[in-house]
Amino acid sequence: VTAAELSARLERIRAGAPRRSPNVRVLAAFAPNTGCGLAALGFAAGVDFDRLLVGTDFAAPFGQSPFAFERGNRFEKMLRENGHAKAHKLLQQVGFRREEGLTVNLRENYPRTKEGMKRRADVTRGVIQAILEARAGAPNLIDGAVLQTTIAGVRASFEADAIAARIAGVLRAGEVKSFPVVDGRTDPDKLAAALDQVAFYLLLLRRLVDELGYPLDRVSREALLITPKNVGLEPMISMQDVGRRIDRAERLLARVRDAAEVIDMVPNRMGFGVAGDSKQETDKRLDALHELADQVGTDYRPDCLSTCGNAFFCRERAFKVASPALIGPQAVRLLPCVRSLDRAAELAGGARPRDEEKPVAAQLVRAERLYAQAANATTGGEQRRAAR
Amino acid sequence: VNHLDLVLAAQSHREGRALRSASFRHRRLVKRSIALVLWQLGAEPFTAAAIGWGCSPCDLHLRVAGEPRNRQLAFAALLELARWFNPVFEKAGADREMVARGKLAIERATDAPQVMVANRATVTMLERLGRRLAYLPLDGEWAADPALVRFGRHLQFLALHAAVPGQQLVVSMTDLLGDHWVTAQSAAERQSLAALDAFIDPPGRKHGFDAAAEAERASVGPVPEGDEDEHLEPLVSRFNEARAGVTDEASVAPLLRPIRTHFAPLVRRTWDLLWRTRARELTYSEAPSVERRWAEDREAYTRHLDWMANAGRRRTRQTARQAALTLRRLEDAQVVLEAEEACDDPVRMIPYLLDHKAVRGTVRGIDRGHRELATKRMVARPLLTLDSPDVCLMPPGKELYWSEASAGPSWIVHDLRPHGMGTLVVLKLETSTATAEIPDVGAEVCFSIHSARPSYVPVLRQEEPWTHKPQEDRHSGPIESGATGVENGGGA
Repeated sequence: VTAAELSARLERIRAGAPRRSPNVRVLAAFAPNTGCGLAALGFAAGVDFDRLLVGTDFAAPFGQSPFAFERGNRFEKMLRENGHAKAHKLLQQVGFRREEGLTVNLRENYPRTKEGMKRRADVTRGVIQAILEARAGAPNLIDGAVLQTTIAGVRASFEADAIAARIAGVLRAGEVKSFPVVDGRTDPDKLAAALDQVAFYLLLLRRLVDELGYPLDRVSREALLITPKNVGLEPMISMQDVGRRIDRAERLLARVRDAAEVIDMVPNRMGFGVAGDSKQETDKRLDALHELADQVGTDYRPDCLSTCGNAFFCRERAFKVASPALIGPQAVRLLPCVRSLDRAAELAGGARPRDEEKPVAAQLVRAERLYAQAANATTGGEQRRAAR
Repeated sequence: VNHLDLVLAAQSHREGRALRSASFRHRRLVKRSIALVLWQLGAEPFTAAAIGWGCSPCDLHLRVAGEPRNRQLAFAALLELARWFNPVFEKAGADREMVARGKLAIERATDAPQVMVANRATVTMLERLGRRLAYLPLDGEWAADPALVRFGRHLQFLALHAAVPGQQLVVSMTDLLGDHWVTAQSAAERQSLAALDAFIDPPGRKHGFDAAAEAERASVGPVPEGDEDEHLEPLVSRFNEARAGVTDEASVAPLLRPIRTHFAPLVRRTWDLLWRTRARELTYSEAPSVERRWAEDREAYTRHLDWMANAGRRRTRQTARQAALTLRRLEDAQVVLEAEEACDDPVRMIPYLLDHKAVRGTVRGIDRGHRELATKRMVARPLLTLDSPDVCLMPPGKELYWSEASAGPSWIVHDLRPHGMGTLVVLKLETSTATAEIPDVGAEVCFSIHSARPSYVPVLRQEEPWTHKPQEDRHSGPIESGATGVENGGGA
């Protein structure tokens, strides 16, 4: 299959469903869900799962607060003002020397189309090449870089929110986030998400550096983070080692199933078109998505609820088959060879276990019996305690 | 997650409702809880957009800040709460009793206040508000009202104390329910009070899953969800236009109505949810050990009030010594909590029975005459034979405690013999009978690893034992921005 055939086929699978511009944030959010056929297919085809099921009961609950949006914009704008003056000043704290080169801003003057992305990717590549060659006057700050890489056999471009800087010949990446840092502490979930995004950016940079034939140690394994300090918008910079996050990102991406392989599981007429068409009847839309999900498989975990727009849909499917995954990965591990919660309840109630279910069934039966006894004994126990 | 949780979760899934994971209520709920409901703007975690407070279900006070990103407006709203909160919170500390601590006697308040909130997110929000208010300057151009600072310090204490396992000064209702009910939900879903409550008590004949899926769409606060902020944003913009930079109470108050109308149903929903779930938990009887933990809470509360009375301040980051001692204290509290709950409540003991960390059965015989050689002379070491219906997989030499006298001496697994489907376990008391309580022959008993004996508390030297030390207390100061500190963020 040629790349062109593949992308044409993916376009037919998307079939007019809402499209999502590929960026590093989306990549970071998708990566933990690589075991899921539906997510892999949607990712390869560029379907925006957050908007796919709008109008149904399973619409993704991720709305953006206009206050958060405004705050983020104000903060970023402030850093970019006067040719990134504030950003330069912060980066100087970590050894950046502004006079060494120019700042390249790819956010402006490029159309937000596939063609625009392609041109930005080319420019990014050229800039990185110049930096690696240590060419005189090479830029030393890139804002709005677009990096290309091959994931699941599909070549895709990813726009980075982060900025990349050359500091003492090494490429570093920094994410601009508007959540406040107070006393050196911040919201751990938001911090983790930001660091993951930088880690994916650094990983893409490493791949590019590798493609260009330079050693990987030209890319830093530390994330720079520019955030407001305290409750105002006064920016500060901090550094965090993200080496292990980069390794994890690499592992996750290596696990993504080959798009061609997933596509082979999809019959010709099927795609995301009907599901994403808000003019169709709800039941019809959901049926179409169920059919597709049955073909490629899903892998629901409670973590999906915070990362994937289809999570409510998959949770409903997991509920219908009483999957232990509803409770969480620990429950799945503790119920080896038990296919559903209903089966676990049966076993606990004394149903005859199959051979492979025997070890866990013994524990379940005991737990159930002890619970029944304890429930009966409680009233007696209370009296006993009162008498003592 | 243990096998009991799984069995209960599986049954919960089958029956479509929650199952109780305790036969008691293991936390105190006082007569007049101070209920707090908070709402923030998206991405503005250090300021409250709406606050609801009160001491009974029909006594909800609601205050909105209007533009919480403006410091004066935000503080005006918080001040109203602070003026109400401080006296209510401090009143319980007036009446004191003396208690012995070794050779010393310390004072302890006979009562303590209890703050009830919806979830852990509200507790961390209280912590952030406390951080912001506690260090405000009391003099100079931007002097804050002393009540506000006082309120901030109470919040700091509460947030710190909330980390102590089993404490009851701060009740996060979601955690309280989560500790007492098993539902076929994941841990993250159980963090929504609305969803958890819907699963516990699904309306009509609905399955808990469907009821929860419906309920979780509505937010409980403090973080706005879905499109809430999209509805709020135009109201705030209009409010800002109308007030034209003015922040004084008299001119602003009449403009707040639309914003108030936006928040009123949200806060009311959480408010009703809080009191309804509280009422349901009150129908379960309180576990015996709750009283001891409440005494500890009262002691901590008394210490806090006395510390405040001496104008004591808290560091925003603990010293290494404080941190080590705090960690130790929290870990100890966790161990004692698990022990007390398991010994109080047969359902809580089940996971330990399943794990072979406890054994139950009938006392078949007691051999008081058993003696063995200690270092020099023969001493009494009574043996107890326990007839357990379960297969017991404990190694000989394992230390156990009788669950009805868990503060007493330890017993050692002396011998194990298979007996029918179960096991005959011979336990040896580690001391003579003189001081120890021993169960009667024929009694149904449980022996477990849980000991309620106080653990050894290490004495740490005042000075940290390393040469390179961080700067002293860099962070304990106000966190307002800029020289003027008036407008913070947008909405000017």
